[in-house]
Amino acid sequence: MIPLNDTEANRYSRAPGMTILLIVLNTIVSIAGWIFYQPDFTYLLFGAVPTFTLDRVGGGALTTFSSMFLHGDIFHLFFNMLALWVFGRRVEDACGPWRFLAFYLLCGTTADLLTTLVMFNSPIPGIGASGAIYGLMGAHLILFPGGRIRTLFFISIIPFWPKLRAIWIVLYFVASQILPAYLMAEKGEFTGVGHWAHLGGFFGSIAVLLFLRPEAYLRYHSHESV
Amino acid sequence: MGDSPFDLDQMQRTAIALAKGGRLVEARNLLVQLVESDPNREIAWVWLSDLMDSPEDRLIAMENALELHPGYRPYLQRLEQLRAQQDRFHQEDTLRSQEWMRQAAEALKDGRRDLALNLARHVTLEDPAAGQAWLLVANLSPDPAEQERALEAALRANPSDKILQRRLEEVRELSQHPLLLGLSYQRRGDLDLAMDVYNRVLTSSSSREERVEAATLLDFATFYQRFPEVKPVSPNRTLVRMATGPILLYLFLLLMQSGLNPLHAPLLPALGVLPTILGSFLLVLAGTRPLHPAWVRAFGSAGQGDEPLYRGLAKTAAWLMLLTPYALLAIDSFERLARLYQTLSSGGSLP
Repeated sequence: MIPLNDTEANRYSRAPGMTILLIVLNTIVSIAGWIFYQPDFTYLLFGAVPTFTLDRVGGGALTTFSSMFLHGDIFHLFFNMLALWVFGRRVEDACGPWRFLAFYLLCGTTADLLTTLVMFNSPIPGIGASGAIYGLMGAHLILFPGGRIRTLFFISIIPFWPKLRAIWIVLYFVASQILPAYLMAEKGEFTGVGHWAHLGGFFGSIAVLLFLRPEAYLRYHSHESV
Repeated sequence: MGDSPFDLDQMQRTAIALAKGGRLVEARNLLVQLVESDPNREIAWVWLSDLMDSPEDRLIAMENALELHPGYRPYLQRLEQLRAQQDRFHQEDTLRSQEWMRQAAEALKDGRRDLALNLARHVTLEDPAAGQAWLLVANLSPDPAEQERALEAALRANPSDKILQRRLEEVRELSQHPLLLGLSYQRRGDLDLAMDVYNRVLTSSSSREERVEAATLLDFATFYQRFPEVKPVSPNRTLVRMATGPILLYLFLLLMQSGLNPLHAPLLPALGVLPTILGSFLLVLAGTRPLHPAWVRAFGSAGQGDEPLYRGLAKTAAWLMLLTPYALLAIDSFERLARLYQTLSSGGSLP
């Protein structure tokens, strides 16, 4: 399932400048990482390595940020930025560009935090914006649960692209992380995907939003969007 | 030239004849003219004690007649009757006012504020000393001038009531700043009154900033009216919530830097926690809308005098306080990164 676009009719009150800036930054840093990539070097230095974090080796807080902007390959970058575009614009519109940036970074940090807590023995560097993006999805769930997203999925080889409510898309993505995250933690089955980072970003954003905007939760129950 | 006694006698006879003929109003008017010309007309006063409209005036007329003929038993008895009548009338007045106030309370419970207001106004017309009715008018009236008059009247009925005194001072102050008045209504839960005020400012203010602010406040008030279960958040709580983001972010980053063990936090960044907290609050405060109570308290009203300068200074100080700890954290991170780089470059062993 691939979210393609936010199709709600109500227009944004301002251009999504910070979303665009983050997409550009992610692209530049990722490309720079590929150009200057050195095996066993680049991602160890700038990725989020749980064992390094716990042993206070390497960039620490800095790598929390740098890891968010690095991506493994073009597909990793593309799908993350597509999700950032789909879910980020309306969240930025709701809170303004600077609060959006702070929220984005905070979700990325909670993603890293949870990964480090759960996968404390892992020497594998984590990279990618998906923790922060799951955080934006959590914000979208609370603020705009009924918003319709054009989504692409395949049954066999046949493509479908209906408009689905954000709540179903977000819950699908979150649910798809739970089992692999459990298997990763319990049995050490590494899939190459930072499931705990995704869950950390998502639940971090829910916790922050419910503290900062509890009335948004009430509106959620009243089926009204912002 | 004044009226001669003969003319006055004639006037008296005419008035009495009019009264006996049932032309009471003309008789009363003539008798009033008569006693104005000659206050010693005992008979005129006696007739007026029957013809005057209000019980008080009838009583006064009888008292004047008694003064001219002291101790006269029929006048004394008539005076007693008039006093008893006046008491009964006052009781009826009181009962009527009480009934109106009861109806006003019911109307208020049903949300019919206009009806409640009109009933309270009637009570104050009947009984200018009805403190409760004046208080109701003050609470319900959208007009600051009427509120002020009502509070003054309520205070006359209860001169020692400190709450009323404070409210009167507040209304006098707020009537100079309509949006602040609207906000004070909104904070005490009177959304309808608040929206009335915002609408008035939106349609009649000559200041563009004030109209924009009124439109924003009207949006919020409309939202809270649609979602009554969502209580307006106090401006101070909003300030705390908005300031929490950068503080949380810093704390999490510090936690990552210290290897999830706060005891191993680097010293300078750890000391940066307090400036981060202060800077975050100051930044949010400096960026609040003009009508935040903190600025109103500091400057009397928003946007006047030196407030923009102080906001600018506050923002600058806030950014310095906020960014310095982050910079210290970044420096510590870079140092560690440099050490790791050297280890990796030299092929040293990793932890």
